[in-house]
Amino acid sequence: MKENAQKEAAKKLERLYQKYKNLMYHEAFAILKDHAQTEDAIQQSFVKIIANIDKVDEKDEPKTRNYLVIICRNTAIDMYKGRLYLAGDEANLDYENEEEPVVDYVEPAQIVIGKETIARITKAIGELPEIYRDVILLESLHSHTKEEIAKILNVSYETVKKRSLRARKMLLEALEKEEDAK
Amino acid sequence: MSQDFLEELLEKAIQQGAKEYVQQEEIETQENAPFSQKHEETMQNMFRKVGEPKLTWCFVTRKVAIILLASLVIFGGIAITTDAFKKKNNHFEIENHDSNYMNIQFGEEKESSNQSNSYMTEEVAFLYLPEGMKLVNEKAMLHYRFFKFEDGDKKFWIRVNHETDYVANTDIEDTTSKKIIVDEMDIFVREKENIINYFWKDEAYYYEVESSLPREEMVKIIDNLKILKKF
Repeated sequence: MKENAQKEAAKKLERLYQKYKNLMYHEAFAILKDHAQTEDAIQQSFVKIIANIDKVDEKDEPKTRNYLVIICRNTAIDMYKGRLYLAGDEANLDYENEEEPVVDYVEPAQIVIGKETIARITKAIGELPEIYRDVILLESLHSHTKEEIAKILNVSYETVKKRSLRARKMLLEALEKEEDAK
Repeated sequence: MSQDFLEELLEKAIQQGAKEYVQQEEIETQENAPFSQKHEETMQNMFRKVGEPKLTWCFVTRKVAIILLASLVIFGGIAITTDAFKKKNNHFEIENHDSNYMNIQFGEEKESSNQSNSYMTEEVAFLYLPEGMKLVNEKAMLHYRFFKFEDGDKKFWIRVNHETDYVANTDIEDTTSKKIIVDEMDIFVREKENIINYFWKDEAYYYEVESSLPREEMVKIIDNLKILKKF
């Protein structure tokens, strides 16, 4: 029974690769600007996808596409940072070393979920910096724990925790700003 | 509204917003990427490995268990076949070690009275016994039943064998041997000094008797001997 599940997982991975390999290539190449490294990034991305294959819902195409893009982009960013580190260009390592504010607690304003609120949140998610958006999407949409996200993004658990809180604070601020502007 | 409730609302709003966001996410149509042959092979190998069964302890244990079970079935079958072969080809041999004593070798007998229930289950009924004659020993073995009776100096034992083939190798030196007929059965009689041995076959059973009783009396006992099927 387990063997059948493994075979099914292999087929699923093959389908995902064939469907999204071009998208992943262009996503990674936009960061790495190197053909060989882009192929490496895709291979490394699939190592992460294999570990989380159960989370991939093929039927929900936008969700699957988003998931693969997040993994691929972050893998490419990670490789890019590694390349800069090897070149001694540490000043440009802004992703991980970014000054992230410590946020202990997010106080949600009095919000009522309606179409308008959802639309505002959707817009605010799109406006979030990628590093925060990826964490929010992996956590809220792809149902990953913070530990899992840390592994996928190759960052520490503390970083994921901080980014998650910061992202929520930013979304809340965006909501309040819209409310005040009314 | 409580803080927990508001947080829950925010989480739901974020979840819903995230769903909406990925639905609206615009993705440009991508041209075919120039993947190398080596990369494609690497990917195919990666997927193939995912589909292969992993050598986990559980997997190994299960495979070992299957192999052991298969071995047990195969070797068990061979053992049963071998035993059946032995049963078919073992002959009942009677050898004389001295003129008064017969050593009977028959197949693979086991001398454990505790296991008697597993062995020959037929009951032997002695419808006639001389007065005072008492059963002093009884055995139910793999291929035979054994009974020994005594009354002072008078004694006899009888062994009822259950086997398909029968070979009686008897030393007839210094003995008088002859065949008698009792109840339409041919009985081979060997006599030496005061000991008389009787051998005969009746249906699927082979009988041996060693007796110090007078022949007439022993023949009467034999004539009144019945095999009762226990089951």
